Amino acid sequence: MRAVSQKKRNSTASQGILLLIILVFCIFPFYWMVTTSLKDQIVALQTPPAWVFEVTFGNYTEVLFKDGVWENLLNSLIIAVCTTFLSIFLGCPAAFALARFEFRGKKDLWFWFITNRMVSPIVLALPFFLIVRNLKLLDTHLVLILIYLTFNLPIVIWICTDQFRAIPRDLDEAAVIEGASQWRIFRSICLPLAAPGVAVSGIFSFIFSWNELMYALVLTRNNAKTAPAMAVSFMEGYNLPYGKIMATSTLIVIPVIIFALIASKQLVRGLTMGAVK
Amino acid sequence: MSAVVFSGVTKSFGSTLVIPNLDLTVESGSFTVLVGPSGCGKSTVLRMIAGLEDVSSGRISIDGEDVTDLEPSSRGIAMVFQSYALYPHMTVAENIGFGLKLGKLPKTEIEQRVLEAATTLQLENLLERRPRELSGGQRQRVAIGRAIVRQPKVFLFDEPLSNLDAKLRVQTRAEIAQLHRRIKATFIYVTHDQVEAMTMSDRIAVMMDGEILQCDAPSVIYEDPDDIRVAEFIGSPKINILPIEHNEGILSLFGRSFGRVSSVIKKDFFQMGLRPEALCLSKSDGMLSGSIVHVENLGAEVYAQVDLTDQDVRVTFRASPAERHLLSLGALVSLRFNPTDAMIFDAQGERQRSLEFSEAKPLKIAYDVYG
Repeated sequence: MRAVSQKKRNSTASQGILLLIILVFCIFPFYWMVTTSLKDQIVALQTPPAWVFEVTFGNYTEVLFKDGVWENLLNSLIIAVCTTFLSIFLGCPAAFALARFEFRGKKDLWFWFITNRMVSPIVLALPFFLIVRNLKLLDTHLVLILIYLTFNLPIVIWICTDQFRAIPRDLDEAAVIEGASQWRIFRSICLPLAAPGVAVSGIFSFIFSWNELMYALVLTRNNAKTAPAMAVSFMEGYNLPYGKIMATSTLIVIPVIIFALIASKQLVRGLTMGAVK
Repeated sequence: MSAVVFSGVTKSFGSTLVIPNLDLTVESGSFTVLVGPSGCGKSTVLRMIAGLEDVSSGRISIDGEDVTDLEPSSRGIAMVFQSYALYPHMTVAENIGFGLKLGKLPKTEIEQRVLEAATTLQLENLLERRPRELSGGQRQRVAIGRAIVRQPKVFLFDEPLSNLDAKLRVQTRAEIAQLHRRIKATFIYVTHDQVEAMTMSDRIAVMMDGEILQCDAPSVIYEDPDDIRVAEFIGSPKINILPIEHNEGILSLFGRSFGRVSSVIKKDFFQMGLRPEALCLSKSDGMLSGSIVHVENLGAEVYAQVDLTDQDVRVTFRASPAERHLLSLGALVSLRFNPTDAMIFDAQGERQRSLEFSEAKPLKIAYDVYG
């Protein structure tokens, strides 16, 4: 008996140590980013690193007000919110159609949606630039929203189609007998039940749009420049202002965490429990 | 009230013909059960009435109106699904009232009708709960409530009790039968469970391979089946089928004659169906003898299986609890039967009433019938 409990204790201890290692591995980059953002350039460049230092918010005030990063954050927010909204708004009905209706070419369409994720984004960068320049849409919010939409829609459609497929068809049929249209079934029955999947795809969509760097660098200059593009622009030749870059990065990460926390409320499992059987 | 009529209905899924040709009339206010083994097409028939499946050809009418091309919601039907199909994100009240809400009824009327339906099914205290907070039986009642509240002409039930445990199934069976007596609507009920069919319905349609073999009252289906498949499907334990020979009016079983009938048929082989209760233990030499291989004691009655001596045939018979001491495994027993209880079928399984005895017809050869 004692041997068993000793064994159990050892196993719990080793699990704890393993978790601690994983936690440090995940948290440390965030810790480093936040602490560096609170150091001035000299302290940030010290070797060995200074674990105890005088905290300064100078980097934040400088990037926010002097460099105008708040405008870039606002651009990022506009672009990410619009992209996420449009991805969900267009992707959910498409996913519902793929999950519920039979039509010719359905399988091909399903595959085609995902093909643009198979192409390396850099391959499309130059063609996109030329098209956007010809359309005179360079450095606008609209262009990034449309381009991010093409990347996010497949993800939304793939995740949500699986969610809709998991909803028993009996529910649709019960609603049809009661006089519900397909639109009503989608809106009142399937969409609320697919909420966890919609939330997940929304989070993915938001995070992708918020963090995307390459297209933002290629297609924007000043007006629609996003926060990640701004953070990179602090790097000039040999001058690497770590404090400013990390302060901007911290400002970029915070909204994502807030958004994920809000959306995760929708991720409650077992919502469909009790529907059938 | 309404009647459902199928006229020459066929249904194919791709190249597979599921319902070859269906003609069926369901009387107004009746409780008709479609019963048959899995895959016989009974659920497809129900779904065609509901409008959830299109018919390949033929017409379906409800209450005299051709509904073949009507939307499900315009047919005046309500359906209770095997899986209940409750909307998990809605409360019991919202589930029951969803159809009325779609019909744009005033809120007060919806509330009133939901409450009425809930009261009928003793759900009035559960109206604010969600399906996941209910037991299986309660969910089933909500599903029935959702059907009742719409006041349909025809109620369709698709194996609604198969997810309930045995005890609850018996209780819900009685509740559904009572509900039918109370609201007097037409009920069409699909099941593979012959006990449900026998206990609830006033008409049973036995289906096999997409066709209706017989549609009659439960007692007729059990006691006077037209087809050997009906006789074999209905009845638990299963009916005993024994090969018999007919030679110029004399019927014989394993070489022993047991009756004479007036028949023009010269010589042929037939099959005799005997329900387990038609066989009983005989003190002297009965028509059948063999050794007991299995005994099922159900309390009020005992069923025993007997391997017949020198024959590759096993029969089941019903004994009374008083005879239990005679039913030890391996014991040799002699069994007798009254030929008037025997149902005769030809090789294709069709009933041959002309070869049967009736109480009115005195038996010509009776000496070895009652051992």
